Amino acid sequence: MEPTSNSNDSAQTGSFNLLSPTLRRVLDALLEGRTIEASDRAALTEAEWIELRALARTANLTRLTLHQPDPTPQAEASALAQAQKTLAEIGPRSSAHPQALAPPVNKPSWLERLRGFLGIEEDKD
Amino acid sequence: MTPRDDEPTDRALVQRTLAGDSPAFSQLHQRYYARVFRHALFRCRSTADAEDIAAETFVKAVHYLPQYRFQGDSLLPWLCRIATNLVIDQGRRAHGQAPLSLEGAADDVRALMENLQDEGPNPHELAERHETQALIRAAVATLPSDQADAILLRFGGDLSLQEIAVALGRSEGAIKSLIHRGLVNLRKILLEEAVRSGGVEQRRRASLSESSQQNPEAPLRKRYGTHIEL
Repeated sequence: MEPTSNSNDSAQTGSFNLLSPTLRRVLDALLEGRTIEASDRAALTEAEWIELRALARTANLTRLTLHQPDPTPQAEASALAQAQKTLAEIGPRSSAHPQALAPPVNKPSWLERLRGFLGIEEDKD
Repeated sequence: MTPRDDEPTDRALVQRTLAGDSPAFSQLHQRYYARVFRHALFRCRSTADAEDIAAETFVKAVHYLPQYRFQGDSLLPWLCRIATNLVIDQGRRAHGQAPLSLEGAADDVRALMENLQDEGPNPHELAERHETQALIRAAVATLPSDQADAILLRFGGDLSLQEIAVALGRSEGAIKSLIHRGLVNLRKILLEEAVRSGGVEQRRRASLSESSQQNPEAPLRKRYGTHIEL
């Protein structure tokens, strides 16, 4: 299969099967909440803009739909009561992994991990 | 999905819950009950089943909380996993749900996706319709399971890419790829459904012809605007 073609026809009939590298980068940026790079913005063809718009509308409608329906307050209250009862019966406990409850610390980067693995010390000069 | 800065984190609430702090557990329940319910509803036959599963999920969570090991910042992926296992264990997975007439919904969904310029449906109103919900859920259920999970956690659970990666045991790059492919496939499935239902093609052609007559020189980018969110 070819990557996204530049044909308007294919955009309008929804026949895209794979995304072009530019469209993929733009989608990545949107998913990560980043701004689209100016170079990618300029490189998008009209067909890709149409495709991007359609994908964004699909995502929006999917999000709106998957946030429906709201549970009834009665069901929520009943569920909470059941769980609270269980919690009261069990009583206080301690975690089997107390270190996992501590606030996360910044993990070392891949370069730091590699340096540590190879035993390379930071150049201090 | 991350709590606001002035709200306690899931870790803090779990720690307090383990110490027997009932209001802390209520906060976790309030934070996630609706999402767990919808997650269960996606996999169950009925609302009543989904309510049962959601309630049982939190009871199980109370039991197993000491064994829980945070991998991301959110408790939601774990709760969703408990709910999924309960659905499977109790054999309440949806098989052949009650048939609904989805033709009108498919037509409107495609009109929205293709931005047809007639009296297009409002996405919020469209999403509230039972038929649209059934259509989107059926389309998501058609996706390969890893794509469906990524789409559900992203758009249903509002999890970050990192949280989804932890929940599904994949890399962030793989998750991005699953969401891309999931969205493309979802759109394709919905368009095919609309084509099956007929009717919309005429509206699409009329709309395209109308817009080109209005301003044939206007570039498509202008007509479609540039503000896009995912």
